[in-house]
Amino acid sequence: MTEIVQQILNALSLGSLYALLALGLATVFSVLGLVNFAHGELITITGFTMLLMSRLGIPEAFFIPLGIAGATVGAVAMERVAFRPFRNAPPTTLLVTSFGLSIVIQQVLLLLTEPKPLPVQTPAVLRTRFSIGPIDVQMLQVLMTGVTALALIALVMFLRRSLSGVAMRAAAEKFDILRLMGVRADRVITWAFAVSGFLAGIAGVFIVARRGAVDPFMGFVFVLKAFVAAVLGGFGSLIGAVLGGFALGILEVSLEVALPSSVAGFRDAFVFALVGLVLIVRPQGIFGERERVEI
Amino acid sequence: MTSRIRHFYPSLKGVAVLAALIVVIAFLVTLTGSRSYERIATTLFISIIVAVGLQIFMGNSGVMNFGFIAFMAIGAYAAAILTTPAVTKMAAIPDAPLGLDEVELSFWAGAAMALLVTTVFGIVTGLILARAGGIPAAIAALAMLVIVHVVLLNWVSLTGGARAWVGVPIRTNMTYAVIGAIAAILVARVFRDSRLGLRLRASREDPIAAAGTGVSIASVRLVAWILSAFIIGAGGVLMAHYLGSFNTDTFYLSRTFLILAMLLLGGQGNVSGPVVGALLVTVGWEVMRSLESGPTVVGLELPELFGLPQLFLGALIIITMKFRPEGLLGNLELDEHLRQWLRRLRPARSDQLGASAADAGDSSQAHV
Repeated sequence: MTEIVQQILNALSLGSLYALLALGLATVFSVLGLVNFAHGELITITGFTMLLMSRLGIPEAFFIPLGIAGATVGAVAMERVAFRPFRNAPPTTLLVTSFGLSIVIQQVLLLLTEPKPLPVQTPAVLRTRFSIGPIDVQMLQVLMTGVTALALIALVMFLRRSLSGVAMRAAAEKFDILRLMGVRADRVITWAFAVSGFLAGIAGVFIVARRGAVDPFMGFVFVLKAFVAAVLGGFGSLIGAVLGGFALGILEVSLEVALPSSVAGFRDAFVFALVGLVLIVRPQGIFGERERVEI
Repeated sequence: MTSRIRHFYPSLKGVAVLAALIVVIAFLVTLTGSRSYERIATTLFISIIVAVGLQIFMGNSGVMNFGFIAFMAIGAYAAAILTTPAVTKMAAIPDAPLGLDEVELSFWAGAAMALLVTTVFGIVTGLILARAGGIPAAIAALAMLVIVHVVLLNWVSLTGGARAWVGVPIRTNMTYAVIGAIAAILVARVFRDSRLGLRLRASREDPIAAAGTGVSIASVRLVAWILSAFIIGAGGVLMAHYLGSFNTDTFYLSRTFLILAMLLLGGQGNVSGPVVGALLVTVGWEVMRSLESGPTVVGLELPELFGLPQLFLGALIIITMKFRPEGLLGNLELDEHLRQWLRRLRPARSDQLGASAADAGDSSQAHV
């Protein structure tokens, strides 16, 4: 029983992480048609912002908000500097550009720092554990699940209630019509990137807290997983991205439990094989609607 | 039958131009007698094989493939496992399945088996992946690469896992690499100009119109995918026999970036693109590598800049996408560009030629 609760918590917290990342990918994709390979670097930017803060001697309490702010600013800057010159380029050009951008950010960070993982202090509260009856609970896991839930609620409110949110949803439907209504395209796109950066920043803080260290290449594994989650959910669907993220978290934890230790190393192979399979059987994703399929 | 062969004459001329370029480079490198130049050139020629192999699928179909290095990895590991001396293997992988630790094939037999393995892998993955298009295809191919990487890394009894594989007999030299590169170019160019290649390119330009004229997009993509796997696998075999020792990271993301940058810079729409791109990227890469270690240039001591070559690749990809999304050569082969330049150099004469060619009727096709 204790074991099951523990694993459920594992799956939920891991799923939250993937959901946040996939949601950010989907937000940008739904507005711009861009599959942002450099999304993982937002996690890295969060980590390095936190590292910089600790080196500058800024109090620990500010690490988390500043880390998230770093990713948000980073995402908006990415759009300004790298993606805006490519407005209206075909999706594959954008994809390749983001691929290049991802390498550039990694290598610039490598030039500025060191290739080995650098330890980062995270606020002590993230490292505490407490017990409910017989169950030993990590504070971090509870926070991951809780904060993700809050972030999702906030995002839904933003998309439903605020003008910018409505504009973003409209942009996902028909960008041209939105522009004819007098909404500035740049503003909507900036908002989309800010949202994706904000979500990646939250995920980034948790990832840094789990790992306790940062390195320039830490984002890659996570962006791959976020792709998987987004694909499972049907690329571009926001609800799909969240469901895909949690599905992936549950799948990974189940595989971890189910697989004998001799093949445990192959877990990621199973996970990615599943994505391949989903893409073949349902190119629109498990949760996506059958709409248009690219040929 | 002869008319069919004659159809490929312009293609063969194009191959000759590229082959001449490669032979001249190899010749110049031999003249310098420098070991390190020879190493760079051999690596360049193997990269050309892989980049040209990638062009066969990605360039003609217009479908992104981020997972192509998996073919190279499989070719290299298969060749290594089959040809490494049994003595070495019994120490490294004593529990190999199928008694592979005792197998010791010659270079050619090993290469043939490795290519068979890669081709079978290409057929299997092609049946699953090749019909997909757009973004899902790009992600699925990347997933394929990760799967291959994870399997190679974790199948310790077969590959030695994360440890470096050592002891592959060194058989590849610059001559082999030159021959391999020219053969790959020949295959790619003939494929591009063949009926199948034309159908595939038609599907890239307009899938709906192509399908409407009876092109089976899935099957032409499949053929290109398998051919691509075969050639890239051959590059892997040569690389294994050139390096002698390598690990799973040798055939993973960094090489993916490198080859992709070559293809994108040169232009994926034609076979000359990856060749020219590989040449330019290799030169740039080597310059950046020499700057990376912080050399002293004209009495000025430069700082160590770790990661500079990769930074150069990333920036190169972005700049290419911005200013020449079709690559430097665009949609014309090198020989076609040369012909245009020659015509521009001699405007008066070429007008006459053009007029007489048009009169003659059939030879005007050569200019198209």
